[in-house]
Amino acid sequence: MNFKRFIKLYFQNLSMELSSVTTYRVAFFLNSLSLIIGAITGPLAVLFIYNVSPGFNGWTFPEMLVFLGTIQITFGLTHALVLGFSWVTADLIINGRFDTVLLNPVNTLGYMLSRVIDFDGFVQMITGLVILIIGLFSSGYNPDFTNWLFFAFLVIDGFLLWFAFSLLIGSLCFKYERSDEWFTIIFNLAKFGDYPLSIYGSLLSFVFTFIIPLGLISYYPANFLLGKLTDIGLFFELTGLMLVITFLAVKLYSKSLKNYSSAGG
Amino acid sequence: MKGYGFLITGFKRYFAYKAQVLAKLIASPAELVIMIIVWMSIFNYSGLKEIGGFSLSEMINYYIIIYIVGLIISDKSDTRLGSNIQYGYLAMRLLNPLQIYQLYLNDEFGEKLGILFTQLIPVVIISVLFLGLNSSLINALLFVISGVLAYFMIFFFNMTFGLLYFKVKEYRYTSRIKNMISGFLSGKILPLSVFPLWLSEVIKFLPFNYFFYAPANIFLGKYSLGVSLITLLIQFSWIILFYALFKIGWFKALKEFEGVGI
Amino acid sequence: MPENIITVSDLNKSFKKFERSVGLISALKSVFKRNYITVNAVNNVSFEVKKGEILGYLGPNGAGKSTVIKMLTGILYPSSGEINSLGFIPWKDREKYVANIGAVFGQKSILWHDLPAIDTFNLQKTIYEIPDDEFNKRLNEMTELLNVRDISKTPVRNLSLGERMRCEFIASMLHNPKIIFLDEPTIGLDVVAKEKIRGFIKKVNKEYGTTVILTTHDIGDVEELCDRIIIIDKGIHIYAGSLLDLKKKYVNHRLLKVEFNNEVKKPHLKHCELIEKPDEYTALFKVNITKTGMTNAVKEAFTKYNVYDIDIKEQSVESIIRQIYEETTKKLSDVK
Repeated sequence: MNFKRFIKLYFQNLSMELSSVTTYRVAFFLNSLSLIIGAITGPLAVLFIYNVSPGFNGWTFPEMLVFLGTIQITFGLTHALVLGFSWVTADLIINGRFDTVLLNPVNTLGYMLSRVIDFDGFVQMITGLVILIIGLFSSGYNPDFTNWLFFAFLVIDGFLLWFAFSLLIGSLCFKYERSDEWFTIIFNLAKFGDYPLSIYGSLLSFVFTFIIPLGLISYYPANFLLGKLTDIGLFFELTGLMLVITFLAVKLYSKSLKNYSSAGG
Repeated sequence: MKGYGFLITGFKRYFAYKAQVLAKLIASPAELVIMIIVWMSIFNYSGLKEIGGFSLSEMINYYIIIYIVGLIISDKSDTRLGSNIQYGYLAMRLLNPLQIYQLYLNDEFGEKLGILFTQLIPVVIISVLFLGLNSSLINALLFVISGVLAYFMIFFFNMTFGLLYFKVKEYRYTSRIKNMISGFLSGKILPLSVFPLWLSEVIKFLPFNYFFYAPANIFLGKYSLGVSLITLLIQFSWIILFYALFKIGWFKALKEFEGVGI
Repeated sequence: MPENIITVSDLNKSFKKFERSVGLISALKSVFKRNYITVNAVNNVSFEVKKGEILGYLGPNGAGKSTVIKMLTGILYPSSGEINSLGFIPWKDREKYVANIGAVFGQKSILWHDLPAIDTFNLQKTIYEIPDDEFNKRLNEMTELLNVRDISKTPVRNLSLGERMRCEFIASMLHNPKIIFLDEPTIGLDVVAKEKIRGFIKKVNKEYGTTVILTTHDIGDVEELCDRIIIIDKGIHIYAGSLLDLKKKYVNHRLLKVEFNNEVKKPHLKHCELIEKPDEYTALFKVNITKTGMTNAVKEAFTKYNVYDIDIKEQSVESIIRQIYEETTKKLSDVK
């Protein structure tokens, strides 16, 4: 399937998804509300902690807001664009409708990409952005263009990490059908990325930087934005690592898809 | 107990999917571990002996207790009611001679039994042996009673909340929002003593205080015997209140349901 | 002589089937170890499909029908064997191959649930790269034929089953597929809707030359549509040929209903089996036509009894097929 056709398909799916959402306006609104409340609980809890203690080493409260906002931005981006690889795959397989996906004369991965768009994710992203901006204003930081650039790329790296996770879960669905369990496991393990890596000690920090880079969920993007880290070498290492991981995850998904076709659904 | 067949089915259903069992076994402790590391780092950096009236070991115990309680006390009766209403199963449930809340309790208990063996007991053992979980015998006993009362509080609170779904169609996200707010206000994320004073005082008048925070405090020995007993009494009163609210609301809702049909 | 559009040789497919545990102890055990057995779903199947024919693919549930269809559509890989369809190996050249086929799976909808069917039609246009003018032409033709002009603008979830099926058909055929696979297309439809769908299939086959492979349990579908049928059971093809030949080969009886003028307690005719006695005046016989002709049986009835009326019926195709299923089961269990 060539690129032009993919773009057309993608945007057509997007507008159809938008129409769907408009039909179920109330559900969309309530879901968005739940995502916003979920995004606010973190900052609120951290606010209370900072009221009675100095909080996290090396992070003032406004800086924590930037950190927490970034988590929502990274995850929100994933949610909006690719998270569905984890559960839509399972959904289609359980209902036996994945076969109809295979009947389309298009690359399956590309097709799934256009099917998993979820507008709720954009709500999360916006909420995260708001929290981040509040943090920036109260912190007195004024990130320059380079800071924002690094931030953007690192957020994309974090997005790729979640993308890889989603593909991993989707791959498991081909074999085991149910997805909720794998999602729970990965989602909960990823929570290690919800706090500054500096609290983990050197071994875990290393693991969460170079092996399973959970630090990309927020720690590294936030650090580069705030100018606390400026190590370009680190930036390239992390990006390189993410490209490799993403490539492997895509391969895994494709292979699982192929096995699904050979083992039978 | 009447209708214990549901209990067995609930228990079996819990094991029907081994992946689910495995997932919960691996996944949920991760959150606990993270919270412990987080608080260790906060205490370490602050150099304080106590935060929110808790020492580090008390804080760790607090989260362990919250986790343990969370395993057993979770309840989904509001979404169950919402889904039964929306998908038309309510009529079928009403044909059962047992009362609706007895049916739901049975569903819940079966699942609890499964959780008890696969998650609760291992976690308690590990916590006692490696994480320093301990308490006096009296406190532990009072805690168990408080936990049971808390469960019934939450159950009837959810049942009453679920009555909303006779009118409101969207139950999944509505309940999720309710759970987030109630979870936050009951001390699941943060002990209520870390909250600003005015807020924690207000919460004391709300049931949420008694879902998790108060039972945890009993376990940690933060309450004197007298206060613990009063807590149990207050919990019991809340149960009566929610039970009454539910019965009244249920009666009214059914009248309309049977007359009009959802 | 129309050429073969599909050729299947020595097709085999086996699956690993995991045992679901019954009882609490085995449920606990299964957390640690899963037992599985190998199931041969398709056993050395070979056949051809001619261009432009409507082929009925019949068999009881679990016979291996859907497995063969999935391999023909490129969704599933065989364990061994070859398929040549439209010059492609379906599972190898899937993306290119499926652009030329269409499928309607009775239970699995490709229409977007919350949107009007027309939105899905437009989506198909993009997916199959259908040029504008061809798309509009076919859309108009089929919308007219199936009378869906009004309902294509209603959200699919508000349509009745019959209306939805009509839209499914259109969605699957907009790209003018050379072969179309229909899996239980008339299931759950009322008589009128069934007629509409069957008429559509016949028309499409005639006008566009579309080859149709139809799996169904509905004998009406078979009798009205199929040029040829293949019967599969337990992964083996047990019959391939026309419906007419099927009847000739397997029909061994016809039905004779006799109404008497007076009460007959125990009516009897040579080489006939009394299968029903609704009341004292009526008798339903199964006439074994391999041993005697219907004429003889009728002659005997008139000679022996005081007859008011008679009625002669063919053995239903359904009972023939049921007979074949039973015979196969018996043969296979004898082999064991």
